[in-house]
Amino acid sequence: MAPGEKIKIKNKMRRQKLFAALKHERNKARHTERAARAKEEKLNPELKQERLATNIPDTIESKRVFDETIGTEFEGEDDFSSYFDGRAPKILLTTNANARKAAYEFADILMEIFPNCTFVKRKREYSMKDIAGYCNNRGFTDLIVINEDKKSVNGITFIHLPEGPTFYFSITSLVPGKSIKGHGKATDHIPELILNNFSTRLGQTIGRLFQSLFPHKPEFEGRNVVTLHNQRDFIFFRRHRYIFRNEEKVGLQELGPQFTMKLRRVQKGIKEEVEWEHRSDMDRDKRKFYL
Amino acid sequence: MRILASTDDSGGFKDTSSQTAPQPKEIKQFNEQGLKNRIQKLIVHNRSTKKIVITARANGDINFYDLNNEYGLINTINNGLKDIKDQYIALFVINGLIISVSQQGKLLIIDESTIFDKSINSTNFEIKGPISSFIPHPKHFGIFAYGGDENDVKIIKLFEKSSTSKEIISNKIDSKILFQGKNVKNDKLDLRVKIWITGIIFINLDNHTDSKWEFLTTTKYGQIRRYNTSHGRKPILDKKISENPILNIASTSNEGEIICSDNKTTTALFNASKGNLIAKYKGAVGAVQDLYTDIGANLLITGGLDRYVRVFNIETRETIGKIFVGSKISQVWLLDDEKVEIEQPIDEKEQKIAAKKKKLREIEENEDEDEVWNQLDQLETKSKKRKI
Repeated sequence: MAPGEKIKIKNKMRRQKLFAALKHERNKARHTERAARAKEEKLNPELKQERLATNIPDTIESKRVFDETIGTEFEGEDDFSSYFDGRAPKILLTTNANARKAAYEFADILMEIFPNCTFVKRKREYSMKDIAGYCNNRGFTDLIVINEDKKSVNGITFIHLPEGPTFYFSITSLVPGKSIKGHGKATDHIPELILNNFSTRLGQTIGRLFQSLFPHKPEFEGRNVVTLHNQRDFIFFRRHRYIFRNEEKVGLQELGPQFTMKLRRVQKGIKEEVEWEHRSDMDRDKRKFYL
Repeated sequence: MRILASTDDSGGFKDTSSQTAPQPKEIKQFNEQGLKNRIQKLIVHNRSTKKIVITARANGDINFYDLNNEYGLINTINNGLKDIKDQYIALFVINGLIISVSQQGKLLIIDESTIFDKSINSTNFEIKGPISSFIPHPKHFGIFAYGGDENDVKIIKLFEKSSTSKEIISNKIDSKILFQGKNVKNDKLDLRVKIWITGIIFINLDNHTDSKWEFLTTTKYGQIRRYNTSHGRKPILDKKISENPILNIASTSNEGEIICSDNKTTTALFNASKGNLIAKYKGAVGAVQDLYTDIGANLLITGGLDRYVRVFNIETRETIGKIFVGSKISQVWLLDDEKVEIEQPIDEKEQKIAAKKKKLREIEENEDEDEVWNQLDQLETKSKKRKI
């Protein structure tokens, strides 16, 4: 209310009551209107189609700031090219130095997800660059380092070997499979991979990173799917088992875990020059996305 | 404006004809050879009537391309690198000589007049590596400065002033160290300060004589150092200007100012005599790989890992152009800075309609918000006061 205006009812509780009643009335009116419209549209489905076609609500995604890198063709080669030639991934998994229980639990979860993955307990005396060197000598294609802080997993680093690049993601909303209602038990089949909405040039690189972590040929009899869904620069990780019940219906059972990643940094080589780094001022414009 | 940018991912270079528009009129790709043979150094050499693009590639090749003839290959020479791990760190043309320098200290000196011939006249020379920066003196022929990892800055004389390119290539090269930098004092904890020169630039050229030079160096540890060889071997200025390694340095039209870029996103203008920050060139998202300054047009061109070529006005610092190239950029070169008039891509009519629609929408939204309060107001006036 404008500051100069006079408040007529001085009792706050009475005023709130009045306001609530008004709100309730408006809501009720809206519901009856919707019900009537639904009835009408049930009789005449064309009306619904027409309404949906004309009334498109604005979303942050539809108002996205123009990015010239969206939809550009992938050009030349990058450091992942060797994977796409058919080399099978071989992953070394480790944690930050002095990690606690949460990190090891998360490592267990990741071991289940990535085929051909070895876990090594982190030793204090070796830096990530040293470890990358040892991995190169032993034919590993990727190094994953889990970061734990204050008894919870908060980040993950992916280093593609032999020559980078290095990616750092923050991790939030980690839900282990066991806490998901109606979850299934995962099998060790090589999963299928779904990558959603990695549209910009940077997004393509991120997509190729995740592609290169899974072997080329999924074992379809396992019916396992790993989904990495990018929405507003948050990457959602989900894992399901599907079943075709009949020609129209598909059943999905979640296997877990669920977690959300956000890209923080991409570096050339093994932690060298910064290719892209998240800055807090990037969040200022809510309609600008980078992946 | 035409800019040449060498691209890592495809191993070629791109010619972008652009300006005033957000994106260029056209980008053309030439001479792709893949990531393994990517271009590490690229220069454009004006040779009487012809413009020649010279590239030094990761596989050791030095290629010559004819700019006027659709970048057709003229010739190739291959022995500039010591081994597979070696890489080019400098390439320049000086007095009819093309010189390439590798990180491990191999110099390849090519007679520029023979690049159209079947066999190119060239000679090799070695200096002690590792080297991260190697530059010629812009006025005194035969004088060079270099430095690198635990290899403090040195000024050397490779050729006599009067020698011709033929003489240089046929005779044995004799190097003579004229000046050698001395490390700065130990730090607070009395520990030795590490050396890693990443960039050198000669300054105050008018004061230079045959035995006196002034120059600036940048280091991997974020320092900027200023030397005056008549004031002893230690730097007269040593200042830490960044927490991150400084990787590139470029001069400006103002002798007292230089532009540096680090391994993150900062590109900034510094005062050369005091070493303090004057201004930043904003916009880059990835590390800048190459700086190119055009003193006449007062332009700064940067290309980096974010796959954008950016053009700045050095003085006002505004971004004049931002071009998406589609591949990581290792080198940039400005071919010409003529402005090209480009038709406005968006119709003015359409713009007007869009603005009108936006206004209408805003008004509607405001009305919606006010409605609830107006109704509440009415209700409040209607409600009777309780009698006491």
